Amino acid sequence: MSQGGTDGKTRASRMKHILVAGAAFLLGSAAAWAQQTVKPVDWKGYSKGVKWEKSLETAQARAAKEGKPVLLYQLVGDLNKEGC
Amino acid sequence: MLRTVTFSDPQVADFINKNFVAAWFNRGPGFFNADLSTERWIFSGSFEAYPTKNICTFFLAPDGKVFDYAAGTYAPELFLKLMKTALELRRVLFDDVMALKEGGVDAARKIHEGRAMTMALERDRVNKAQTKEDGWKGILAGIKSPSYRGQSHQHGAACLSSLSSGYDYLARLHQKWGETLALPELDEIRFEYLWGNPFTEEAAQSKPIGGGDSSKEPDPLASGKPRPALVSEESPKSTIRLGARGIRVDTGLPDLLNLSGGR
Repeated sequence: MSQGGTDGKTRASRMKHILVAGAAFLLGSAAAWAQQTVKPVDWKGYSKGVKWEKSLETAQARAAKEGKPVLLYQLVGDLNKEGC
Repeated sequence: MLRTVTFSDPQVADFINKNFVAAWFNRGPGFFNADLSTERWIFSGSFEAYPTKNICTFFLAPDGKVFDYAAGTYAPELFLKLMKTALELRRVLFDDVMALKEGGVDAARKIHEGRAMTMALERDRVNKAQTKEDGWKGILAGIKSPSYRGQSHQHGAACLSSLSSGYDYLARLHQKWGETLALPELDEIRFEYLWGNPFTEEAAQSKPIGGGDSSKEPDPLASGKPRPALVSEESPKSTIRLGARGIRVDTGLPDLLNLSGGR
């Protein structure tokens, strides 16, 4: 009996370990899944604050009129499309 | 990163709209922006300052003469400082109607010399902090850690490396400006900055198409044409390749980092 009781305790202990490991695996998988499926924030949410002129020429004309310098951002790619 | 985080910062946007007239220019049509996984890598890896030569912010007089610029990307707090320096230069160089003041260039040179020293001191401060455990905490205390496309950037020791490279670049840039007597035309330095290495293979393919209205720009994906090579076969030891989009970090360059995926 005592041996069977010990076996039962061992089984219960193993079961507990398996459940804990399983839960940890599921949590890890869920976290990894969440990481992979993070949806990027809509691009339109970015760079809204700056009032960009349509071209350097129009910016220069407005700058001359308003007595301001021009800030020209030169980049690889398109400001209105996805990217860093 | 500059446009997604820095230009989206309300304080930065307000400062630009109040003091400058903003325009943008695609210097490399046909080149692709980094994909999302690359963006995440950039964002989580180093963000506070990154002097990539693929992007540059020029400050110009209305006649097209450049009086300041900064290549690369900077956190909002640092970019605000750059813009304040540009504004200080504007005040000594130009009058109310943006005409060049007599003695303005000499006054601007002194500002550049002062900024070169300040930036060098900042660089040394950051480098010193890198030798201490948790040294980054004091350095980055005044820099926000903004969220980016659904993720959050976590400051850490790695950030100091990018910050140091940014300050080092700015120190050298201001030093070079301090030695310069005239203000260059934009076209003189658009693809080869006053200080820094010249553009490489992508410069030859760049076509000045103007900025702002992107609707007329041909979509390189739709054209079916092969993408231009983003990774040079030269200096393979100094090139890091990441992902299918062909990001390149050429650490072999003397001072500026080269990130062909765009930022």
